[in-house]
Amino acid sequence: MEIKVMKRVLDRNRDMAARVRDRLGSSNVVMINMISSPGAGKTSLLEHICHLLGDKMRIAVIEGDVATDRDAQRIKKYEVPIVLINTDGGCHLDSNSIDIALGEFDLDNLDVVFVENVGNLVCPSHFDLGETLKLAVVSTTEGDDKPVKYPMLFKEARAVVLNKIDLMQYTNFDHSSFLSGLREVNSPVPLFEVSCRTGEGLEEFMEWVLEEAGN
Amino acid sequence: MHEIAMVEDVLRIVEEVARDNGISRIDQVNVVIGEYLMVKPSLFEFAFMAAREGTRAAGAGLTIETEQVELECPGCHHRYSPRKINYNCPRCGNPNPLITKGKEMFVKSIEGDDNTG
Repeated sequence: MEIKVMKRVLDRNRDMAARVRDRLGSSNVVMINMISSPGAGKTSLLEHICHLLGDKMRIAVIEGDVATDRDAQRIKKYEVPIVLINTDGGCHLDSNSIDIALGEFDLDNLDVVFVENVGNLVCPSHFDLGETLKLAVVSTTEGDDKPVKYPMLFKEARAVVLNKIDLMQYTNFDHSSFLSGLREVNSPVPLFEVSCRTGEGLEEFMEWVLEEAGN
Repeated sequence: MHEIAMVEDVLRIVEEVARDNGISRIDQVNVVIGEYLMVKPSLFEFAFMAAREGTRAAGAGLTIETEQVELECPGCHHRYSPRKINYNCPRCGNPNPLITKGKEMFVKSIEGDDNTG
């Protein structure tokens, strides 16, 4: 006996993401889902955001970490509300854990929630967290082929940060090949070329963050 | 590794459908995976074989049908299939087409019977 089913997989995650979106919307909070491979510089970028924009908007952070609180410890000194989600080996965050984490914040007194997803370019792209937008972070030391190798993330990203541009000269990162790959996958997406180490390019990126946060 | 989460949800769906239809043994699970999701069928199948133990689908086969991506241009309403990863409209160049097909993963059907033997 064959039974037609036609049911979507991961609908529960989608339903919960819709709930998260409603919660954020009713408190007028923007949520930015930061996705990158391990070591691209998500936490460093977040540190700069907290440092440079902490007095311009009310920030909270959700840290997704496989097993440690190292990233959360780095953010703690900026005195922003922070919730750590340990995935215990899991390769991505899901909307249910975000919904629980949001319960720890006073949403009506926030402007932006930054979610630092687990370092991974594949899995987090499949799980809608209820975010307002996805921010892809990539670095020159990873190679120039990431957009074409992981098109789903780069198609869905509202903006892309290319970090570690100060190291470009020491690597075989081909800037024009990176650009043409990114433009092939997502031609209009804004690209911010920065160095979290030297601070180069961060000003322009911060302006974009402020704009997206509605300030 | 997120294939595990997907497979677990597939098994949750098929268990529910089997229970509602009085099926005690599922012989076959047929899923459709959108090309956009870039899920590798061999990894998905491997995860399925590991996760099916202890469910009504413990002995079930799995077929995976890949659904091609179809796009529609919001500007000139041209419907087309993308060439590789470039989704821009070939007619007017619009870079933000709607993905009308190939973005979802769903359980299409199951096969089984109520014979517990």
